[in-house]
Amino acid sequence: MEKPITLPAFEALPTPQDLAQITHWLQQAGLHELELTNAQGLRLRLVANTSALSVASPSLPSTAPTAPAKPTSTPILTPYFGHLRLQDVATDKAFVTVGQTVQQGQTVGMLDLGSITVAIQAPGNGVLSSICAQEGDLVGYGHTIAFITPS
Amino acid sequence: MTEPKNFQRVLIANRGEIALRIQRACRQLGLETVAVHSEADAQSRHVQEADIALCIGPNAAARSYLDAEAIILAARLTEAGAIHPGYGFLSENADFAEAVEAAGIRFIGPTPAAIRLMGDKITAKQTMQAAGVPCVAGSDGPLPEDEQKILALAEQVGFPVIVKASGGGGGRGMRVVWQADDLLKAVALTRKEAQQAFGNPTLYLESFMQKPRHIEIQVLCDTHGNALWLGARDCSLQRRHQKVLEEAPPPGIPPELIAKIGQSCAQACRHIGYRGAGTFEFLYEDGVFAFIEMNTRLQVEHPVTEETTGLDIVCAQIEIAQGKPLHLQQADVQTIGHAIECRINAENPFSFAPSPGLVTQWTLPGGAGIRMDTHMAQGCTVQPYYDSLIAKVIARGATRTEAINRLQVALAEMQVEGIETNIPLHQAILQDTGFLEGGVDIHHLEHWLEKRSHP
Repeated sequence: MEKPITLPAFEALPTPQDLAQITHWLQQAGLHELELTNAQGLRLRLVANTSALSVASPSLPSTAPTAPAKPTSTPILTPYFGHLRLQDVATDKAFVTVGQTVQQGQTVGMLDLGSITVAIQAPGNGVLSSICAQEGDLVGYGHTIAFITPS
Repeated sequence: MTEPKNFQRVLIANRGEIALRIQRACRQLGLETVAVHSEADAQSRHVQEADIALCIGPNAAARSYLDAEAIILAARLTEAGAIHPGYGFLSENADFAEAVEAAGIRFIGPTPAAIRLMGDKITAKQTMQAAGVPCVAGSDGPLPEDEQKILALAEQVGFPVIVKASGGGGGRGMRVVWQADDLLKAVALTRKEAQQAFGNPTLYLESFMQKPRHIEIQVLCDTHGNALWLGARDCSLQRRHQKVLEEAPPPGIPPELIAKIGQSCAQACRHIGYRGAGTFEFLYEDGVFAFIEMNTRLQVEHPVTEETTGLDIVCAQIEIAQGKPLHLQQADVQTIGHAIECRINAENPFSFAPSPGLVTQWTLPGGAGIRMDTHMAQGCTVQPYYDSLIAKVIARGATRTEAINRLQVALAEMQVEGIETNIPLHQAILQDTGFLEGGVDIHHLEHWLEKRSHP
């Protein structure tokens, strides 16, 4: 356990091979965790498991290449079935129009079952990007009637 | 009597092979169909082929096929004039049948009152006794609270006895007692279980038949006083009270004995004003029939009766619901030859663990005397949320031997990949000496399964 070890240069983030080597040393030394800091302020924390090794770097972006998060469309699904009503009978106007900002829980349409009506609500905040069902359509449970782009 | 309003569109409140079977019957009668389904079944064949398909809920049966309110709302929404409940799910739910009729929709099945009467096993048995149907000796009513009276009743019936829950049925909520010492403990335990499982602690007691066969009589009754019995089926091959293979007629039982019991069933139907299709289930031992329960619905195994009588039971159910009279008399009902049905389940043939998943190959058998009732196809997925029945292979022959031969060839021809099936189990049963002789009892298959060598 007294064997001197030389850590790789830490100007940039170590390569995966270097990380694996360091972690191996950690395990050999019976250590659980190691944190390194360099002059540039980079901080690297390594955690060695007995079974598998896991590498964590909380103050750095992940070393794994990840696609930048891009805004995706969220479908608005029907919570029940019925005839779709996109027009509010009280005001005779559309509940929502494409391009409009909607809030989570906002009513975007109704399901008409004759004796009862069920509201269709926006699942989150965003901009209504498209409507893909027609007024009066008989739609089933879980049917996509529109999309919103989350804000 | 006013003519019931006829309907042009039928909502099928079921899934799988039976939904497709009902859809075919509707088509043959020139009726439109509405397929209500769960999200998981959106791609299933009867949904794809229905005149109107409507997803009514998520995968859980409680929120789709068992959601009575949603089904009735869907029927109104799609202007369906009738609902066929199939088997299982809501088919024997009297409250559902009542709600359907209250909504002005025809329930393709018996009256709610008849379902309720037969749903309670004590009232069912009392009704059958009064109508002259032979029943197992027993308590002839609910068990008393008094322990001495219970003991006296059991002694009078004679041990072994079977203690059953009035709200049970289909093999649930029952316990066999071999000696007086164990009786009171068994009664207390069954009462507790019955309360938990059925919300009804009422029990009754019967003489326990030790090696009975399961024999059942199919009946069909119109609303014009015509009640027919359509021969008998032998459903003795069971595992955990689930039927595995059924045949008609029951081998080795004298036809005159079956005719006698069939006539008493038809008579009982007239007595209670029964409507539609139904099945009287009996235990049969040493030449004696004993009524156990009546199923107030279509049965999984109805095809073996259709194959031997040439009748279409599902079409008849629908026509009866339309108020039409049956166009035949008892003398016109003839059973010809022999038919056997194998229930093909998506399950491991040894462990019986369900085997849902994608079906990558699905090659069906054919030829003379072979009928396939199935909703599956290559590329279909067996859903994990429901019953594992994926097909019924039915073979008809002039004799039982011919039917067995045809079935053996058919099962060898059937190729299913991607999932496991119980086809190997059926193939083994069809080579079992006891089965080939015919007339095995209801414990035969389980004993056989215990003895067979594992791979």
